Amino acid sequence: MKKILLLALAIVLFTACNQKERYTQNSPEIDTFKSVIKSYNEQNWEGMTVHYADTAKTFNNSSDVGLSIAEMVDYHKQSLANLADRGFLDKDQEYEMVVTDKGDTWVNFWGDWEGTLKANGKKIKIPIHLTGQFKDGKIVRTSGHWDNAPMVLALQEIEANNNFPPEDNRPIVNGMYQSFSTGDVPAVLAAMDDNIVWNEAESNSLADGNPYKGPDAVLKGVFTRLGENWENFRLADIKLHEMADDKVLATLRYHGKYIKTGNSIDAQAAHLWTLRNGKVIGFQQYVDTKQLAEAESK
Amino acid sequence: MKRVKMTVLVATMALASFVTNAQEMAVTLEFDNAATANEILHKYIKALQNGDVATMSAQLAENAMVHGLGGGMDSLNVAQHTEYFKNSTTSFKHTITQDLYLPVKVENNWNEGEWVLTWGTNTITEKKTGKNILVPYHTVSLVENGKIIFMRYFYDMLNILENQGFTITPPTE
Repeated sequence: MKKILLLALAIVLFTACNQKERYTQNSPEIDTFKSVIKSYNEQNWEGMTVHYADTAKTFNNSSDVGLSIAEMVDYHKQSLANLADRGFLDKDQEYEMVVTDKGDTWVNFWGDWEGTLKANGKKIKIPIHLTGQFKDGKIVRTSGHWDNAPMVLALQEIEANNNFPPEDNRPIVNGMYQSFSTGDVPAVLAAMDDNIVWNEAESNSLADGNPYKGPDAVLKGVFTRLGENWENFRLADIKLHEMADDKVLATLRYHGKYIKTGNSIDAQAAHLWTLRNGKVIGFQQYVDTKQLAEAESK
Repeated sequence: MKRVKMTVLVATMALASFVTNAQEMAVTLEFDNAATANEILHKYIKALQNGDVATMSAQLAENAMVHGLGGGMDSLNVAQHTEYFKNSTTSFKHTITQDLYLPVKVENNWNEGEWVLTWGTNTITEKKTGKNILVPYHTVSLVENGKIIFMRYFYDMLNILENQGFTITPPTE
């Protein structure tokens, strides 16, 4: 009887030891995926593609258009055109391997990709998720999910600035609007002279601190209060006009919702910027203050 | 005596096996709250498809943060998340297909907690024109006390912008 019990226990142990692990963070497949990421960073295309099956397909932000191995390499090479350098950052890379109920083996990867634009040295960081299916030690399918918008908007900004003639101040102002649109307030402030004089339109509730002197005063008196009081505040239909005496006129519209009242605006506005030595030294706002006041008070 | 030795050997093997497993089980797919965590994400996705933003936000903890929904509003609190999807569902119908859900519990690590990973394709239909945009997506959600406390979306906002008529001009040399 004891022999039977011992045999039964040994069988249970044997089965447990041979049970396929469904989740791990250490496996040959993960090592392969790490090698692919390293080869991508080093632009070692051979080192990368050797890990893929000949018939492998890569789906980048698409569920129906898959790239072959050669097409994938071309895609990576083309994406280098506008970049001084790029790659996945070592920090915070995460890998895991999962075996599905059907027995399929997938390696999941999360990491931050960072690229530096050739034209202006601006760094763009994008969180990326990649997942790859393995068969017989080779990658047979990968899917990638990330947001291309930050990169393309940055390239758009460069292109817009390329269209301005030399000595034109509009690229500087255009850059400030682009930074504002992505919430990059430090970049907006960095374009200001230390002695900037900023005036909100008369009768605008934010004019109570006029004139705001210096970037810090603009941040605290204008930008911070905008963020606190308005939801989804954004600037639209921005058109820039180069003026005499180092001035730039922007005509635009304001959109947003005043949080306390829930009222939304679509207000006509103009900004008169004054620049010296590539920095903004003056700002005067003109805006439909009647609409702002109604949104704030009703 | 031989039998005693055999028993000790088998018992030692059994113990060693459990100790080894205890150390390796820092991450597991099978855990007590797996089904509940899965259900929360299913509810969230179902509510998105029904345009039921209140039920979507009800799956979030009060202090939850949602990242990666695109544009300048990269990190949204619950109120901003609600507003974002109210705007979205007013203009668009969301239909989710090929959706997969994977609950994962992590212990003894910096990312300790009960996570749900999801993958799928969101077909976004503009209500005004009937035009469809296919958006493959991935989300990572941390679930605590039956609510999502952290969520990150991975998807291509550019795909949506281009389909809405934004034109992209590459820079000239």
